[in-house]
Amino acid sequence: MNYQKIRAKVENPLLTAFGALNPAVPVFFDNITAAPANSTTEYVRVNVTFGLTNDPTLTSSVDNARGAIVIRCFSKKGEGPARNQTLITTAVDVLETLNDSTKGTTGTYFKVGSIEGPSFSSTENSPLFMGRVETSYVATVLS
Amino acid sequence: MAKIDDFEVKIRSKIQKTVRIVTRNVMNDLAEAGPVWTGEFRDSYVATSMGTSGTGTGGSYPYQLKDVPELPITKKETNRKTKITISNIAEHALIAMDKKESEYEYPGQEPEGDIVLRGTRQSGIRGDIGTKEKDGGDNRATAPLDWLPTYIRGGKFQRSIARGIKLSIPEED
Repeated sequence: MNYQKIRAKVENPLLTAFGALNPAVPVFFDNITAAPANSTTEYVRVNVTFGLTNDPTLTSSVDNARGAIVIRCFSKKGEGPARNQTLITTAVDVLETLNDSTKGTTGTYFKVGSIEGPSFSSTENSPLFMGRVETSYVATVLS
Repeated sequence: MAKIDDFEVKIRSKIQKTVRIVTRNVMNDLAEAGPVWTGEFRDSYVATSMGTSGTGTGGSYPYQLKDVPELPITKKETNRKTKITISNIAEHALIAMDKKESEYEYPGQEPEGDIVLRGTRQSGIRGDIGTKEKDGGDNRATAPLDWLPTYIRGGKFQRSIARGIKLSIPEED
């Protein structure tokens, strides 16, 4: 099983898309600390989790996995939802594009499920407003 | 005709019991996958019947079949698509599920569950904790970030349903 290839399939396009925004938005993945903690500037936190791996009901391939992708976008609080929605739209566009790929004989075949959200929230003392979407994925590493 | 009616009733009864068994299994799965500090969240899962609005006995982990409401075996209720909902009635349920931010303070007691994350909390999300080695800090969590979507969307939820059905309906020889 090549977890890196699966992770890269979703993380790379997200990094590119948020980097192309004006201003570019930093994206933090698992085991990369959002710097500084309790940041006051906007950022995106992506969590790719693995559920069942090599579940025989998925495909006949032995190199497959499924799990969840949770994307949290943090933008400045008290300035309306527009910026946060721009960030969420960027994330959702990337997730939807992942479904455009067709299954070949090499590479990593990746499909996401229905997208839940966005939901928005904030706490009284937090400097940032949070938008959140989540989806499922099924991935097969073909080579 | 009487025999066919009896058979139908038996089948309906079996279906409804299977649903209850699956519900109990899922409640236990959720309790095991989620955070356990005082145990309040883990012990706050409640199953509610959609047909009768009945709830189980409101038990605690490990959940038993009696904690899931009995389901009527009428045709209408057996055909109902959504038969039971599982909810968590703890006041801080959304925070425990990593869906809502919060502010945290030491609750005055060590966690009942195992600590799986330790470091500095990066945001108001319960499980969003960086590594202690890099940032120091002593925030702790007893379940990984996004444990709930991982359970529901990662296949373990579906596997639990399949296990419940196998458990309740023995396969033919």
